[in-house]
Amino acid sequence: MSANHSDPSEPRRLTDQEIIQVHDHAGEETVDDGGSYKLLPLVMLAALSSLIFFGGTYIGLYAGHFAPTVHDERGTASAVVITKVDPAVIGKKKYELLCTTCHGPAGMGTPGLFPPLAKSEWVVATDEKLIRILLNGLAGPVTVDGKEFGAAAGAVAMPAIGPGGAGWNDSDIAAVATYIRQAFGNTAPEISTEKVTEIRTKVGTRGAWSSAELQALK
Amino acid sequence: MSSPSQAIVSESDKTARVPLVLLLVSAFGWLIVSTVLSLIGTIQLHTPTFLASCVAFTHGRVDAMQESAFIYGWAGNAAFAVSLWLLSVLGGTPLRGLGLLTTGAAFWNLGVTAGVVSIAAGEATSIPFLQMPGYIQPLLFVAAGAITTPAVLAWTGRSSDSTYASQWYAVAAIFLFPWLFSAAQVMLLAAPVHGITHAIVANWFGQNVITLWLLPVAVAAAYYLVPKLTGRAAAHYEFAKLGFWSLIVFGAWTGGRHLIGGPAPVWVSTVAVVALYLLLFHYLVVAINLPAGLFAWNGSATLRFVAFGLTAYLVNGLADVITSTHAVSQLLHFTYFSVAQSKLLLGGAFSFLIFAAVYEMGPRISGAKWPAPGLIGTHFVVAASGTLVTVLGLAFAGWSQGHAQAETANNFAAVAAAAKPGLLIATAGEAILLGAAIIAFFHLVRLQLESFSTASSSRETPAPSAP
Amino acid sequence: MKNGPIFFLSLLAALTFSWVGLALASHRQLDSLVPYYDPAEAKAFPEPMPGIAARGQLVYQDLGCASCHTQQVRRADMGNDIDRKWGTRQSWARDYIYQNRVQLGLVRVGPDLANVGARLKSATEVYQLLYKGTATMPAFAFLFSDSPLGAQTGAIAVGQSEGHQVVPTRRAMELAAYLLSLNSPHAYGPEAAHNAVKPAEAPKSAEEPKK
Repeated sequence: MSANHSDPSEPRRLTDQEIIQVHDHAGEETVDDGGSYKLLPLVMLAALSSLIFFGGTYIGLYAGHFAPTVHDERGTASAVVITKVDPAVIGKKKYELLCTTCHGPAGMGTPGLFPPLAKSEWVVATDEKLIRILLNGLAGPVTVDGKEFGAAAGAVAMPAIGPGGAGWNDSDIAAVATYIRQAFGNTAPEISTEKVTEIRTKVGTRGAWSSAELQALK
Repeated sequence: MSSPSQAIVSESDKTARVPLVLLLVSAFGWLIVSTVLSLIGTIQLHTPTFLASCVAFTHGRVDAMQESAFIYGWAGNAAFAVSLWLLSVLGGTPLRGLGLLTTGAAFWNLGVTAGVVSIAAGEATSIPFLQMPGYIQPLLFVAAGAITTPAVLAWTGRSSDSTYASQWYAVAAIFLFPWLFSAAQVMLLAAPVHGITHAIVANWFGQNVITLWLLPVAVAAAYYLVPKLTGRAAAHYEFAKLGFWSLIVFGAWTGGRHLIGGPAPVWVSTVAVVALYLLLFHYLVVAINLPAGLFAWNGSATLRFVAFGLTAYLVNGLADVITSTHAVSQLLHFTYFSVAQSKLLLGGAFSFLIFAAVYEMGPRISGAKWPAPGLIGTHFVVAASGTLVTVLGLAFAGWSQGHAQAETANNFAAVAAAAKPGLLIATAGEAILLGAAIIAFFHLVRLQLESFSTASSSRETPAPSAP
Repeated sequence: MKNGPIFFLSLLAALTFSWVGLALASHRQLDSLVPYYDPAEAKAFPEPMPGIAARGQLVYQDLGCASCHTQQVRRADMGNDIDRKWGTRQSWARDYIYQNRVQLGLVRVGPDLANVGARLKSATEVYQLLYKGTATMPAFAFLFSDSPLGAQTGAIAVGQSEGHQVVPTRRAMELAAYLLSLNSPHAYGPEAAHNAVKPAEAPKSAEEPKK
């Protein structure tokens, strides 16, 4: 090919057939050499098996359980996913969605028409009655904090937000109840979803309550 | 034709001349194109205003064109030619299906040309290693299939049952590519997957284009040339089979290596890191098999290409493992250092082993001597210095860039200033590489002209190859 | 290697095995990632990309912006991405479920853009950056066009020259909408729990005391 092929210092080239022939039986006689094993095959075996051992261990430790959500090799898919959300946060969103129209963003209501929620005995003193009002609504006049509401012309009844009304589920009703008990300066304990479910089951389907009906409950 | 040396330049060398020369000349032409684009791209890295007003040469498009021209133009054509030729000479059988091969080669180059032009026109897919638009990809796939068929026929129709390592690597490369290519075209373009899956599949494809297609051809060339040129059998050849399968089996899993610390689930990159470690066994086998007598500097210039290419190949294998570690990755990931690494692997290891193979096969398929043998040595010196300067310049730039970025107080102007000296060095290296590419191209073209004039004149045919 | 068919089958098996393990497995797995519904916000995250932003992503693709910009924030002990205010947390796979062709990128010549929508104030700011360029980014003048002063273009002018104003083209507007849409700060429940690592384990602080 090139000029230096005629150079006598050039090593002898193998033909293509020779290349195949000299390699064809390589290794077949090297396994056992006079009873003593050759060192290199053992070294290679050790190299390959230690690499595989290392790789296996590494995958076991750092593959994040092969989970799609693990992005840190020290993370673990078995960690408990905590999706607990403060009911007051959801309650506030729910309140702003529906309740502010009448009761106002600060829970102060409108004199004579819509009762306030701040310092209202209906909100803080009793959970049984509050949940009933939320579930089924409240019609007719009502006395809150010593003042009369709902008797004047133009007054609107409190609509149901449970079954037959806005249709909220129990956890949303519990959340908004908890919110109004803990906002606007109120400091009553929270209301659980279980409690709402319990009362919903007890009451069944019915229309709005009146103030007298609720007062009659113990 | 009575010289004994004629025996090795038998049918198998000459019959496939037209398609092989077509592949080789296009390959070297594409090498010039991709080096010019690479030079433009590197200049833009330190001087962003360079050609900035021209939309076809905005940096992103230059990058995409350069990559396509290099991978599919230079590397693809050259890998096809070298693996076909190796399978034919080692199988002791002339290539069959030459019409199919020539057609395939022509359409492959037509497709790459159309692809590069359409990237300039704004049709790039933005998928690494698959930048050419979706409407061109099926053409490339069919062309690749047409080129693969003669290779598989050369393997199955070989004259002896015994085979040699070069044949395994060559046939594996040329056989696996169409499968890989079609899987990627379907999952990335025709019926694309979404979100991070798309990135994972793209990385699987991009890495395997290198690991399962281009590198095996380079290794095949090394396994052929070392015994051929040194006259000595590969040392401890009994491990070669294990080395081959470790590349194919472990190499296929290295796809997630660029996703370290990224938004893919962590198992993807963990598996890739482990695969990189396991690949060390492949490099160990190659290192034991081949270097015997390689570094005798009085050897032929061709042997020097092999020595350089093999060294780059082994160094890169080690560098892959090192840069995948947590401490190094957080500093050098996303820097020019990764660009330097791919230059070392593709421009150093792959290209040099292919150059060596071409210097061996060129005269044998053309039936003429290299017109200027001294130019082979010149090409080596220019290409080796160009590659070293580029790789070291980019590595230095990446190192400075990584350190500058690690200081949160540095804004990007400061980071760019830190990387600039290295980028200027790399620009000089790219310019040298352009010289090397031009030398190689014209030498190859002159060889073809020489052989035509030799054939047409009544002069005695020179012995194209020595025993 | 004497047996042809078995050799080819083994080769194909090796490739198929990696395809099943990487491509198919991640496809199946990541398809299970649905938007995460946050009851506190009463919304699901991430939010879908507006149509004009999806068009802008095509502009981002054809200009090859990913050559110089990544879109992936690394966690606190992998580089200083979070210190650089590129995001409040690592980018997770769920952030990208609405993207057809993710633009993760490989080299950071410029800053990461995964949450760039949170840093850019308005489309005007994007136009200024694109029209004028910066020390490290070229100007993309071809994304803007000249129109006579006073012409009703419905676009914000970025510059003026005698009798003419420079206005963004449709492509520039789409690109700006895309960039402004890039923001996914939400901490999804499962990812937040699965990637919480005790701070003591984070290897840091070797360099700190020196300063």
